[in-house]
Amino acid sequence: MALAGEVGAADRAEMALGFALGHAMEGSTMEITILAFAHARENFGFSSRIVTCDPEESPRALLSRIAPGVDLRHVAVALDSEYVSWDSPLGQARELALIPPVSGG
Amino acid sequence: MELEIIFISEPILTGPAVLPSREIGSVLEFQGLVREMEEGKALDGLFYEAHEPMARRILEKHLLELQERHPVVSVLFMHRLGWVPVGEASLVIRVLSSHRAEGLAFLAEAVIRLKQDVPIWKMAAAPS
Repeated sequence: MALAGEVGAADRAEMALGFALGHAMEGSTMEITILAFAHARENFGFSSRIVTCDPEESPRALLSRIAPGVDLRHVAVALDSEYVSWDSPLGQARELALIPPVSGG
Repeated sequence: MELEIIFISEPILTGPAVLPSREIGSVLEFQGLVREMEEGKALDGLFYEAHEPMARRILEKHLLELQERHPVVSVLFMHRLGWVPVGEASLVIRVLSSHRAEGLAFLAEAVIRLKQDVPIWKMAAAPS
């Protein structure tokens, strides 16, 4: 009885995990805040914007979706304050920053 | 190394350096001032903005890397944000070290790295 009980609990845990994973993979949209600085703000037409996206989506795909036609060539991109490639996945990032050429000092 | 990074929207006032030990032999202070002529136009000042958390993070990384190559004792890095009139400092870096060579090398490379990838921008006018 004890053995059957343990197996049953394990099965239930596995089913719960499977459900959770399947659920996460199935409808995995999230929100990300996009920040545009300096000349990027002028080019993109906003300074801050919250958009719905997919963790697998890249910054390039996201920006071409919300700001089609805007030239990305002279803009770098950062996720949660780390520079990344335009084609890397968004992952679980909460913030995407559009970084035009810097000119501090 | 003592490291302090400050972003400030008021004029930068540093005051005399406080020496953390009797082994400080060099105090260097660089001030970057806003000049009147920018790309052939006479300006009254410049407007600075930053992605402050990211700028702080990248600056820390650069300055800690520089410390490995040019060991200094203390670094104060101050950058002004907002409107900065001509003649006022937009940037002050103060470096304390035992000897001048590492202080001078640290300071020169810090300014170069600032201009590489630290997300701070100057503009001729405040954003509308």
